[in-house]
Amino acid sequence: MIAPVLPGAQLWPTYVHLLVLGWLTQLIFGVAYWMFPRPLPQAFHGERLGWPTYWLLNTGLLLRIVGEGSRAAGREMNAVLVAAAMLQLIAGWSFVLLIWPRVRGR
Amino acid sequence: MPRLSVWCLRTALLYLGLGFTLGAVMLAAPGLHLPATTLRLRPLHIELLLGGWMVQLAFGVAYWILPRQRGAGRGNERLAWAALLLLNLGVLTVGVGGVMDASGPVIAAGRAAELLAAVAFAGHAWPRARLYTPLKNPSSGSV
Repeated sequence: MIAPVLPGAQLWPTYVHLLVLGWLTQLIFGVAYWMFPRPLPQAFHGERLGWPTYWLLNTGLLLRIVGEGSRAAGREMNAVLVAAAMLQLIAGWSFVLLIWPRVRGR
Repeated sequence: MPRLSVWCLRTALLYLGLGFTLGAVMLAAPGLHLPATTLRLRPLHIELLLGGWMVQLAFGVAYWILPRQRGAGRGNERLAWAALLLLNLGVLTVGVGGVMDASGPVIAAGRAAELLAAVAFAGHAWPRARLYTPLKNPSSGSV
């Protein structure tokens, strides 16, 4: 296991989410936005959700780093973590709305 | 986009939303004074996002985009459908079983379903993972 060798196992969730959310998931979001079929003219156009999704996801992730970093240093910042959770939650569903009409047959 | 890919990708998107929701609930739990048992959602959160979202998305995109076979279109479609069903069975069994502290055999059965899904998808995709040569007769498969 890698967790015990990290300086502060309390930062393990932060490390995992930086990689899985900040790197992998965001990479998928970007590539899907780029290469999935365009929505049909009569379908819901969620293109305006692209930038808000990006900012919400990354702001949420940064707040998470601040909140969990503070907790690891012995200072609880629960309100920051609640804000981080809300922003990431909205970002996730916003991406679902954005891409859903573009997942379609011919 | 073929039907199987549409099913894969839309299911993956639903898992993404659900996985994010569970993650947000766990992250906000101390601030919202939710019980510590909220953290028991973690196995489901992980399964939904790693297996249900990422792996399923990879299945759907690979099925859609890998080179087609001459005369055989997208190859063995049954294997791909089997992979999709087994993956979902495995993800839900392991995820929900983890939350409910299910017994070892239940989790093992879920993991076995995930393993079989991987084998089935590899069996489907193996012949399609090859050097690209354009089809001379495009009518042998659909886009």
